[in-house]
Amino acid sequence: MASTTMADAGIAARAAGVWKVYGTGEAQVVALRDVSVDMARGRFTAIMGPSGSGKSTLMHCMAGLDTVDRGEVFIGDLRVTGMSDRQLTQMRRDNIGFIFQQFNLLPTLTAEENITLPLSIAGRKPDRAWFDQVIDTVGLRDRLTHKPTELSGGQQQRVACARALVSRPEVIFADEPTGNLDSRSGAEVLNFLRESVDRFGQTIVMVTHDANAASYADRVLFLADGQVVDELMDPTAEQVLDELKRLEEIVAAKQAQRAEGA
Amino acid sequence: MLRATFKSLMSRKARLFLSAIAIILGVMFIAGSLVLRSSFGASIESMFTTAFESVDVQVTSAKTNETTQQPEAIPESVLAQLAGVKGVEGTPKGLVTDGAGVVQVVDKNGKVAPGFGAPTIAANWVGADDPIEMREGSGPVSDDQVALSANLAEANGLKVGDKFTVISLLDSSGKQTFTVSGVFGFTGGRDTLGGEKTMYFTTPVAQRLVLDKTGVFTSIDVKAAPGTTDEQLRDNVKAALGGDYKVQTGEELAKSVSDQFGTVLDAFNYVLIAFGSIAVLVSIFLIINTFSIIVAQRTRELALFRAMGAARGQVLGSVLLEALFIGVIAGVFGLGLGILAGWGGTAVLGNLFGGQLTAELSVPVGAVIASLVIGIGVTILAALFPAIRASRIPPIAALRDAANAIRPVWPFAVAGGLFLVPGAALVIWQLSIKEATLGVFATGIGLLFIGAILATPLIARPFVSLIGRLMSWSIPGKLGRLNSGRNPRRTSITAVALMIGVTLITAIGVLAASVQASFDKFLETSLKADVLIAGTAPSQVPPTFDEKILGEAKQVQGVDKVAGVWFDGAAKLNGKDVFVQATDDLPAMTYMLGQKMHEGSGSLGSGTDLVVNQAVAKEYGLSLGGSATITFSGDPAPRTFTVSGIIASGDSDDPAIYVSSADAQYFPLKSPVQAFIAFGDGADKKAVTDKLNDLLADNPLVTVADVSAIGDQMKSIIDIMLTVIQVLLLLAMFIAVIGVINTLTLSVLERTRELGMLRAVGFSRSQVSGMVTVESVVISLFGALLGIGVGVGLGVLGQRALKNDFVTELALPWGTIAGYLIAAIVIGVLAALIPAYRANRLNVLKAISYE
Ligand SMILES: Nc1ncnc2c1ncn2[C@@H]1O[C@H](COP(=O)(O)OP(=O)(O)OP(=O)(O)O)[C@@H](O)[C@H]1O
Ligand SMILES: [Mg+2]
Repeated sequence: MASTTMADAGIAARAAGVWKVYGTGEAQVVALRDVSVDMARGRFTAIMGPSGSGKSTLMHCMAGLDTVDRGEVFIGDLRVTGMSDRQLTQMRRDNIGFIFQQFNLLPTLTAEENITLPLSIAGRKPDRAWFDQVIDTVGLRDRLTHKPTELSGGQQQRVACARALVSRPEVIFADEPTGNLDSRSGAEVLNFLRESVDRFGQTIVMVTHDANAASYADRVLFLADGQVVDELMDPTAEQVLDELKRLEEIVAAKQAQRAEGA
Repeated sequence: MLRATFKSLMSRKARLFLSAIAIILGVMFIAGSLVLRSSFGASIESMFTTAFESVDVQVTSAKTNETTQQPEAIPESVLAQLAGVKGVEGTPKGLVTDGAGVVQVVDKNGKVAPGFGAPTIAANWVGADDPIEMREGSGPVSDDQVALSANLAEANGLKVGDKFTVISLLDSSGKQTFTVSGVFGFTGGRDTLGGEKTMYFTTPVAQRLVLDKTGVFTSIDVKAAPGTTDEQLRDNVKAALGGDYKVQTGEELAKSVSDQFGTVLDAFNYVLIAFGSIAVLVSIFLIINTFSIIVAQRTRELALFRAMGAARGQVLGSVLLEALFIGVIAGVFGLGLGILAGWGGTAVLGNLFGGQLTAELSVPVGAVIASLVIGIGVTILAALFPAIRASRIPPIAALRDAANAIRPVWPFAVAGGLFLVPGAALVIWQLSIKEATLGVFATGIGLLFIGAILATPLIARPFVSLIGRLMSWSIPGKLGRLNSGRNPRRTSITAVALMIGVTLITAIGVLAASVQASFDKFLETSLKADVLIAGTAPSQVPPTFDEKILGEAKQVQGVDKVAGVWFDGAAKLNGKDVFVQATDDLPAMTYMLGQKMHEGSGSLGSGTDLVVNQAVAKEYGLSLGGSATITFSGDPAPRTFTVSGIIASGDSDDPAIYVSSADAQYFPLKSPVQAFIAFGDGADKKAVTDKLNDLLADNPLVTVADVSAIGDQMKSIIDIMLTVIQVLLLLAMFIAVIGVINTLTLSVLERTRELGMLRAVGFSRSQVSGMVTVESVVISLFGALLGIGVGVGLGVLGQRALKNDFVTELALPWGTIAGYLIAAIVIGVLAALIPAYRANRLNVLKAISYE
């Protein structure tokens, strides 16, 4: 079967010929046009691109938060496209971890309860040894009983990371996880993400605007105008910046072209 | 600013609609009550106007008969006197009308059926005048004939030529049978004017049945000669007769008769308005909550206004303007719906009165004013605190995420204490003194109630987490519990709205259960009588039976003791109005009523002996061997009595005054009204009761009633009362439930982002519903438990206060209380439906990406 081969081939998430269109007529926006990407298992992939290029849309579609208009999405062995709401919910619960830019945590729960939330939802007990390992990696041991309001922004984001990791999902999707943090807290979070890939073989897909953040990844995908236009393996921050600059020129040229054509 | 207010209003249509509904319902209830009162009054007046259309001037006695509470009879001689008055046309008509239910219809079983609703009226036939229309046969021409109104004939299945039996409570000749000579209706094809049933006899028969006298009338109709107005005639007649008579035109008569109904209607109306006010009170809480939440959610927006230079007053004004808008809408809609409800209610009530009452619509100015004042006033008042809070938002709040800051609860402790402490002091003081004043005690209870309401946020957090723990076996349950404890003020205010209704009904339930238990205890331990001979039909004059029954009953095998009782409800003891009873066997009587002698003899040796209880002895300063003067209402001569015994009163203040049955000849009713009968040991209860019933074959007004059945009767009356109160409180409960829905809906909106996050990490739709439901159930259980707690407390205090007034036992209605708790859970689940639906409809993506 195709899915078996995919998992065997070390692909954790795949988008195949994905289209996403918002609105109709005049207001129509093509957010993704024929995007096909594979996210390798145990790798840290960054997605970059100008604002409005479709990064979040791609992530949402791959994570089963949004439906695609054409094409297919797979997570591990599962075909996400065509799943019912119930199946999607279960898939998100068991196979995916999320880290958002902000408001990741429930204010009523302690840090520990927030971390184990996906497991509690599924009615599972956390694996103690694994939990301890995750906590020690994020360095939150002495903050477990604190409520989110009693934690700094960086600590909150680390709690969110721990939560994403603790259920050992197939893929963790992170949308600008360091967007709201200062550079030091950001670096902590990024180090932690890097470490979980290296030590635990976790697959991570991260959307970011920050070239420095992207340099933590194994591979950077560049999106422009809803299409994957380029990629870099084992990037440095300088390479990423150069590439972004090149992209911006291309986009500007395209826009100028369109304006002339109109 | 005005524009911003309007925009904000429009963007919150749903939540404002819910708050407006609450006030609309309250206003509707009150306006409806007022319209009902006024319309029903108008309908009744129009009915009597029709009834008295043909009357120009009517004369009645200005004095009242003590027994019937009706105007005294007018001697025949007045007729002749009136014939000579200037402006009188023809011969005045003497009328006999039974206004006190003296004449009762005997059914096929030979008994008087207990009647409810509109009365059955006996009168003398003076011809088929307007509004009467003969349908069949003719009016009574001989003394053995009777004419019946169509509804009376139909109710008894009678036609012209059939036999018809009645009995008079005043005339001692027992059952009397007549032949139906005719059946009549009223103009417009009506069977009755207002549901009443009417029977017409010849004048001498009517006089005998209704007044137990001949040659007298209850009223006289006088016709005005052409050229004389009713008013002129009235004044002429008044001048001729003097002050002993009341002279009224037909119009005045219709008004005064309908005004008598008015007092009953007013009482009924006050009850409705009281319950409407409770509903309004409950909606105040709902509005406070809605506005508080809206202000909390708009904190950033309002702070931005302030940062841009809006003055505090402008912010305050903007929130109050929103309230004003809702208030006006609520007042107008509430009034409109109230008018419809009042009109509908009039039609329904009219149906109860025989379906013949035409429902007139009358909207009193008071209803319009009340609707607007309540609608606008209540909304503004409720919005005031949130508005003031809004105006205090500092501009800096625009930069902070302060929307969910939890505010302290200690001000509530202080405010609650300000009411609780004086309330408790008043109640304790009143309970400790013997002569408690109802008003002061009620004030104390009221203060305690308000204090309990205000102090609620204080206990909300521990209480809610306790209730919630019972439900946090799953993660949705746990989250729901935590959510409900998140904002203690909000949770409390929502719960208090529910608590008010539950408190009232629980307190009343405790009192009712205690009354019932006390009554049962009395029947069980004190009342040694097995059966009672007493009347079945309600009437102004108590039904009586033949005295010789008492002797016959004693002879019945199995009967141990018999004590007959005679009543004089209008006697005077040393010049003061008292209720005196006569009995033929005082020792049997006191034994059966469980009374003990305090001192002196327990029997009434002669016709001048008097036995009173300690309460009376104390009040009138009577002592054993002393004398007292009694004037009975059936005989004008004052009589001197000697106190031959004093009955122990215990804690009770109820008076008891006994004289010998020999004195009953001076009573207005010369026959016994009741008899207490005790059976011997081992008597076959059923057989003896049957034999006693056989004795009463010729006494249709009374039956043998099992004493234990009296307890059941009491229970059913209490149950009906409780049901009525529960139904009337339903509106307040309904508003409270809207409050729960509103709070939950707003909370769900406020937590959009959290819900989105939960859904993203795998929370399923049913788990979201579970979470919202638990929150809802926790809030409603909290409200119910509060209400039950406070209600039981108030009920117990009430019982304590009435301890000396018969409510000796305390009983808690556990079954009902359990019922309320279950109902609270059901309400919680139902109230969660809409908010849970909304929470589930949330688009996960929008929720998480929404700023
Ligand atoms: N719900 C929606 N309705 C209509 N258009 C949308 C919607 N969501 C996204 N879009 C459009 O789709 C395009 C891609 O949006 P997307 O959010 O994926 O961009 P992005 O690359 O994440 O940008 P940013 O870096 O600013 O977050 C944009 O042009 C956006 O306006
Ligand atoms: Mg984005």
